[in-house]
Amino acid sequence: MYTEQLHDKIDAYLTGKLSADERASFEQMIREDPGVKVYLEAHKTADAALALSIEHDLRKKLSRIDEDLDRIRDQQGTGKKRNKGYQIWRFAAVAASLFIALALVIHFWTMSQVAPEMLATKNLVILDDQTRGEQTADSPFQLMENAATAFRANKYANAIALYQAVMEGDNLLYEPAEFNLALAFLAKGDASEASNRLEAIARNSDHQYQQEAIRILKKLEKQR
Amino acid sequence: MNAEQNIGDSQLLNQIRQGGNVAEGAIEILYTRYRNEVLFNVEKMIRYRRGRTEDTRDLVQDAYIILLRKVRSENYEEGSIRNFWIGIAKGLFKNKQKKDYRVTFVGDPMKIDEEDLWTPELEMEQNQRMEFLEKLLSEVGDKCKMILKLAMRGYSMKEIAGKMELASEGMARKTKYQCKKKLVELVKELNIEI
Repeated sequence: MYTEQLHDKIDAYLTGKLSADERASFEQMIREDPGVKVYLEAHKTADAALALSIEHDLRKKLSRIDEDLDRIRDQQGTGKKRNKGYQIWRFAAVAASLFIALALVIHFWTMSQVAPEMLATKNLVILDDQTRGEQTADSPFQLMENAATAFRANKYANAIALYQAVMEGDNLLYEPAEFNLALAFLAKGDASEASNRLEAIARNSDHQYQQEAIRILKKLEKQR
Repeated sequence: MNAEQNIGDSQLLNQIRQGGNVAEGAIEILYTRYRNEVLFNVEKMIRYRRGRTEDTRDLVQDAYIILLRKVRSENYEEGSIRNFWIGIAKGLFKNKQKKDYRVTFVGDPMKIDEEDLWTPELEMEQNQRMEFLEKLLSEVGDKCKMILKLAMRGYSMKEIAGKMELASEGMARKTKYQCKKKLVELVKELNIEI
């Protein structure tokens, strides 16, 4: 007879809740009473059936969690796809900014790497109408004008000769002629001579083109 | 931060061992916490071994159920639960592959009990057995089935009384006995073996 007492005893036996003495006593009872053994086996089978059924329920529950997790993952995936578009735009913007920055750097670098000829032409001293004054064919003013014309026509040797001619006389145009002469050597490609002459001007604190000479020397220094 | 995220793995494992209502929540939290990572790792391993990835979800679930059994039976040394779960799943897959293709692996990283080995025949047999058991359990009635399952899941008599709207713990104990008796008598009568 499957009494409540037997039920509790079998339960305690199968879950290991009996003391050593109680266990030994119960095992003796199993050996002596075949009816108890039958109930023990039936009890074990019932427990196994329940355990399997519980696992079956658990599987269903886990499948529901799986569905939820997959749905969340899919939603995050869609979000990521949306974000992907944004990321492409962001990448494009960063790339464009970098490209522009690079272009500007290259531009300014190129600008700073002005050819000596260009540098010289850019800084050439041209007389204005007020300084020009009365002119004769061999006046320093006319020689300066002719030298500038030769300079612009890339006839640097002629320009050099003309500036040197201006400097031979004691006149107001000595310093601009000296400065332009240095530039003419620079434009001609004689950097060494140009630098020597510019350095001489830069050392002369009274020279009206001292600052210009210093500036050009710095540029030439950078380009080296 | 979600309160669930503050519960450590060790605490969850203790709650699972404790059984009852608290274990139910712990089982869900632990599964939710690592399922995606485990699924990703196991799927990667299956692809690497040129296996079928369609069954990965089932494999991960089976591995989790084995993990729970091991945790409850104290057959688990504290460590990374995620790695333990992945290890079981990998062991299950290798055993399945071994059965499918008669592949021999030298030194399995995770030893799986013989009862956990998976074969198509075993799965069919298990499905048939489940159908039969569900029929058997339905013979004792839904209420009885529920009480017996709750008791087996480690619910206290107080919890069972509350959940099943029984007057007292004593009533729950008495009802549980009557239900078990009904089921045991049925098993005995039908001479069922599992």
